[in-house]
Amino acid sequence: MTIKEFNNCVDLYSDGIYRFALKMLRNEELAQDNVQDSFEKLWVKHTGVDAAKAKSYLFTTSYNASIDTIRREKLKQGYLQQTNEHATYQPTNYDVSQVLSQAIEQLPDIQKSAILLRDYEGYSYEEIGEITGLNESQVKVYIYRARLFLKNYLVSIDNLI
Amino acid sequence: MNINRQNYESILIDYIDGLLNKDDSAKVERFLLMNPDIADEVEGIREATVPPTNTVFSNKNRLKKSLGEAMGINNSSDYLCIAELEGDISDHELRDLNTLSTQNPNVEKSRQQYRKTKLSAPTAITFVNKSELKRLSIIPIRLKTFRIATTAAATIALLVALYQPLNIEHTSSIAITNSAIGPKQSMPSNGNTPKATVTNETRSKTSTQTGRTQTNDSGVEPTASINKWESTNTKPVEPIKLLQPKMAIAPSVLASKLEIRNSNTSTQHTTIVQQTGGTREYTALGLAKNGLKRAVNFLGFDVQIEKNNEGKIKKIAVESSMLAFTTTRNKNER
Repeated sequence: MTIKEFNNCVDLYSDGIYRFALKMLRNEELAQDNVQDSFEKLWVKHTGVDAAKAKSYLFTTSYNASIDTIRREKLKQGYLQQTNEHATYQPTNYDVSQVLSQAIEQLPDIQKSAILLRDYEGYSYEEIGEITGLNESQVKVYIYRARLFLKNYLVSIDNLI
Repeated sequence: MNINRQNYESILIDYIDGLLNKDDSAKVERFLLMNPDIADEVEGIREATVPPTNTVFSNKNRLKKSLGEAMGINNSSDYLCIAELEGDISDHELRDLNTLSTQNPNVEKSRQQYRKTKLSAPTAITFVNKSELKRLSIIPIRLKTFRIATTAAATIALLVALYQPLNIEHTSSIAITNSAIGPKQSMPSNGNTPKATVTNETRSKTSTQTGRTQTNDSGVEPTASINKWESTNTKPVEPIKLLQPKMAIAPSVLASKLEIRNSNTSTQHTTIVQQTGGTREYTALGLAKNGLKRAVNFLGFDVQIEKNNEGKIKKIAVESSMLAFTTTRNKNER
């Protein structure tokens, strides 16, 4: 990968990675760091990475870094409390995207990653499998279960309002 | 293989199952002839074999699991709705789903709910610090290209260097020549119209064009012409003075005069800048170098020239916040 291709990747993928990291980490600073680290790692190996595989490489790096960060953050005080606050959140106005955002926060990390990569970036099961280190069937199962959860969440909120 | 009454049992099982080779089978048969009681035992075992039957289990379908169930989705309509959303649904599954939707309004409602679970990327959220992630380009250029670029830069620098001393001299001349005249507001209004004339200042200047010093009749060389007001019946006023000339312009520059040497009388391409008695003398190359230095400082470039042991230029590297390039004079020296 040339410098020009690398800089092109910055223009093309940094927004997507930032959105993915922001959803995963729920913290702007951590998401910014995640993007910086992902591109830094790509730069270190840019001579050995094909430009066509750069996006996958970046998302893989971002995903792994996000999981590490989440594990680290879970050890800190307040994380569980924050999660519980989200779990008990009940929107007063029925805004589908807002309700969905709340629902996604309650998905297990692996399901959340899979469905974000699927919907935000349009990745196939195989590509998500490459990024997350799962096989295709596992990815499919996680996405289906996530969809079921999201739909039930929407229905439950719908019933509340 | 040795067969006797102590070890015959395990060997006989293999014999009955047909697992022994020809020689071992012959040994077993000889042993059975010599031991008829054991031969009867073998016949009993053969008769006790249960023949296979063709009985089948008719409720296999009840035991089979659907793909949805394997995923933990027990309701088949849920599975079909998700499969439709994910683009995994087959033709016959789509027909089944359509049938279910028609028959059961709840299935159609559920279908609509699933469609709402499709996320859309929030494109309003963008990563703002892209420029920090980008890397500087290193452009290798040929020496010829570098020479052209530096020649162009030197030309511009020369123009800048020429402009600046002339501009300064013009400014300082006004301060001097105005000493005998009044300011504009003191011009007479009684019909004595001031007129503009061109006079020659008595400034010495050598010429590089001819190699000779040109002089006028009075023995002094005409130099830069300065317009000044010449009026009569005017009261002299205090001269206009530069308030803080040392702060505005460096003294050495103020005192400098543009003097370009005759190339016949001095070494060609010298870069000497001499300062004698408050007067700086620039050669053309020295002037260009000075201008180039100023231009480089102004533009924020960092120029590094690497020399070899012989003192010749080996490598030139130019770097700025926007661009960097490097070139070697001799490719063999890389």
